[in-house]
Amino acid sequence: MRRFRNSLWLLLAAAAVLAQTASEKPSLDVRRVGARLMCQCGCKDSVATCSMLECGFSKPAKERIARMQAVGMSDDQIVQAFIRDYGQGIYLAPPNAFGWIVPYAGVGLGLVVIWLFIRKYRKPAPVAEIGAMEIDDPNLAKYKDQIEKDLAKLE
Amino acid sequence: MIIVIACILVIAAIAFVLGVRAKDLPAPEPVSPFERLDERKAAIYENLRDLQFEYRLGKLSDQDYQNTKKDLQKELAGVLAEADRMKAQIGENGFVPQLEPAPPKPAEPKESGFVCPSCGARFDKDLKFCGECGKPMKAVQA
Amino acid sequence: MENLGSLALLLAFCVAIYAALASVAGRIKRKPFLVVSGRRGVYAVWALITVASGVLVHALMAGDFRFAYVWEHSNRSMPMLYKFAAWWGGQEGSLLLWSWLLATYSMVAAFTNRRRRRDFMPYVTGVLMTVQVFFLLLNNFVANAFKVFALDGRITALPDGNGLSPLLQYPAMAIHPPMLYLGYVGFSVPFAFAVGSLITRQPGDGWIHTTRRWTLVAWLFQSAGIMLGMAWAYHVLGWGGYWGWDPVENASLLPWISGTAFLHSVMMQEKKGMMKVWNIVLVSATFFLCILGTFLTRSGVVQSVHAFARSEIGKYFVGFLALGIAATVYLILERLDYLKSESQLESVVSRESSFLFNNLILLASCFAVLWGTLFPVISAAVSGDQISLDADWYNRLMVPIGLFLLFLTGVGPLFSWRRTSVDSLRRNFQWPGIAAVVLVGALIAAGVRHFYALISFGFCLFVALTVLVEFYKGSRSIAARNGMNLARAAVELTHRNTRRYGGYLVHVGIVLMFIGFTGQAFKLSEVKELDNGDSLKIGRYDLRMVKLEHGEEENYLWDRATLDVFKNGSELGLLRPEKRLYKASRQSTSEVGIRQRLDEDLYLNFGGMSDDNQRAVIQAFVNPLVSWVWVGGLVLIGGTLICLVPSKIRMQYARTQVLRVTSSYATVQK
Repeated sequence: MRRFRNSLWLLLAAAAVLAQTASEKPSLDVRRVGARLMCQCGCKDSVATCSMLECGFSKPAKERIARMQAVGMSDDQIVQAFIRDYGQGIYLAPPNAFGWIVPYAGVGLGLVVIWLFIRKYRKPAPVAEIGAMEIDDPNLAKYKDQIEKDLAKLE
Repeated sequence: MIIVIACILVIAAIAFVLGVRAKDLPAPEPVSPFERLDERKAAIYENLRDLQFEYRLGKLSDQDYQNTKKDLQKELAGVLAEADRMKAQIGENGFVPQLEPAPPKPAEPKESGFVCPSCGARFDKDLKFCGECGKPMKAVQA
Repeated sequence: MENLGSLALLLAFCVAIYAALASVAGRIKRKPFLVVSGRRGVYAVWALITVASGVLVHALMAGDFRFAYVWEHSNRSMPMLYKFAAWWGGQEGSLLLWSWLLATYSMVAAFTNRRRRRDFMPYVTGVLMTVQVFFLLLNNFVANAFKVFALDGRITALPDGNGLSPLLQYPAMAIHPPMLYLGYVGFSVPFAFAVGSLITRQPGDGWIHTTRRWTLVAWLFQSAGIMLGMAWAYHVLGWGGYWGWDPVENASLLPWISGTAFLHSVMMQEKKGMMKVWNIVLVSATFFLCILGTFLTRSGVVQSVHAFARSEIGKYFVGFLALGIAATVYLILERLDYLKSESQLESVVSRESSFLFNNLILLASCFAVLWGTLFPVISAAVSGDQISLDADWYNRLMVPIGLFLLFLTGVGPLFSWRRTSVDSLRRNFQWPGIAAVVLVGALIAAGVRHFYALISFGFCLFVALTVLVEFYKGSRSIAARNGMNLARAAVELTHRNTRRYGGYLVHVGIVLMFIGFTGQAFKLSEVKELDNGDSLKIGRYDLRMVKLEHGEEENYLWDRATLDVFKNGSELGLLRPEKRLYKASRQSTSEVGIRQRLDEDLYLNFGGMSDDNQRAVIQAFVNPLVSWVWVGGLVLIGGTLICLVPSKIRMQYARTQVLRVTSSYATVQK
């Protein structure tokens, strides 16, 4: 472990001092570019926001971004370089309107469906009838006694 | 060794799957034509019981309780009527009607000519449920 | 041995095809011989897959490194538990586990219903065996677990294996996949019953009554699996949280949400005979989301830490999903007339409506998660840019949805069936509502300004009180009638209608979990490089580094920091966060140091060594209320278990007599 770490350290020492601080306290510039790259360590965050310290990906990536900025590459060039190396999957565009609208549209559509459902199945408002319970249909009235008897058994 | 085990495995599987003897066949189960009605009846009774319980806990206003209870009882009566009609159709022997039909309430005088929107049966009284098919018929008046 | 395993799988594949065809053909042609033989096929498939799984597990336990799978996912120094858990540690094995679980469920379903529902059971067998055939296809021809190493034409064993991924060498993780799979697979059974019932145009809700338990059991396992996954993420990944909206986490959440919607909306069908189409759609959606979940986990289509596998398997899943969904949609459309609603809505202000909104919100959240999960794929297809949505996107979308759902959890049960008048509403809402408002006022006075947190705490109290009142009123009534004390009456009340009161307990579990989620709004985090004697201050805690050690074990190298924890000046004890680097896989893991208390957790992660290799980088988090997530999860599981207990009061009703064949009283078990 130590040897591995030392070799890593040597490797990093070769890089500019600028790069070292980039991973510790990334500048606003590094953060801006880092936010457009997905960290590949599996954390679901961007390179700028990955919260895993000693992250095997975001830390060297931040250093690389700092080095690239030091030689004057534009944000797009840096992002393109990362995409070239790691594939399109690393590109983390800010969620566009498309990403936001669709879920809300889904809720809206659902509300419309509920409205249609209620309209279709809504019974016409019953006439307010209070008072003695009675079954006002002679054809059904004969069952009344049995129902009452069964109801008494329920408790 | 492996080959022997493999052969045993194959033969056992095939024999088990295909070796169905006549006595393995299940006897035909009695199917009640009333099963569906019984299910509905049970559901309505359960609803009624829940309703009574909630009313006793004070969760419901009197009016809600009475209205809902009435609705449920009507539905139940509809189901019972349907069962009776099926019984009559089947006309099986040995069946003893257990119910004494309660005397029908005196019908309120109303204008004649109510038509069930579902089955087209005609009644001279404003029924909430069709006496023929049991579907609600309050919505449409002829 | 490997030959035996392969043979068993191949034979299972053939028998499963036969069982599917024989059952359906036997039903159509009315040949009981074929139907019985098809059912025996189900048992045979189970036995054969059990043999194959046994061979694989034996190889793993015995360390038979001729098997590529064994070499890849285990090594000699692993404890026995993880050697067994390696069964589902990799692609081939976990697909075999899927198959085996499906075969087990199918066998139980076929056996318990062998004398019942004879008209549509053959179709149920047919559907289950079709799914089984698909998975056996993968087991046999795409991801075979019985591949062996060969050198110069001779099978050879390698000296030692790769070892299970160290991230998975954790007790919760060892049982997390089978739990999730039990949930995933479990939803196949209600789906198969629904399809069988639809094909044969069953009158009534037979499929719902028969599969009620199945659905609950599947949902229970799924919940437990998700909770274990959260616990694992919290204790092992070391980033201080438990849910990162990772595609695979989402994949497990999707069927859980739609399953929850299904559990609620079946009540509409049982009570009122409404929403029949919708229930079939929901149970099918849940099943296909389970398949999609397996697909996402196993194919690596959306990149994620979990999606270990990037193989050819994806196109098989896409094909199966496309065919399955098309067939189901066709069947539903074809049978639409038979799924007509039996009754109507009496009032818009009623339990029925609250279920509609509950379903809307659950489905909306399900859709939002699905959308977010598949968005990289969708956006790549639409615009060419692969856009991944970060956790922030999910949180912004899901927090309001979640809060609304919490609100519905409280108000839904307060509405009564059919109609609810203002008077009834006032009786039920008044006191819990006032209490919630008072709580929010008190919190504002106490200086809490976080908008969502205030809303969440208010709703939590509201829901908790409504449930409490429900239990209290019910118990009081029973106590008064039967002369029991209140506690005994509460048990009696629950026992009388386990489904309802167990459901209320599940709601309480959800409330407790929301209390835990809300704690995240007040999370603190701090990072510092510490040497011996250095200290770090976070919230009310002072941490002082007392020891920094390094060492080596058989499997891994470790760095460990020992920190003395003080809170408000008094000493609380030592915490020892540790970092491990596994030798075989060069993968590192965290053993976090956590001081778990009900009010807040102090969570320390050993981030690594500083660049000059002298100091330890310590990440400290204070997670308020996080323990309530776990407590809530346990309550939720307990509530679900209560739902599974048969109710004490069984409805007795006069069964219509037919030629004296059936007993005169039937029992409806709830």
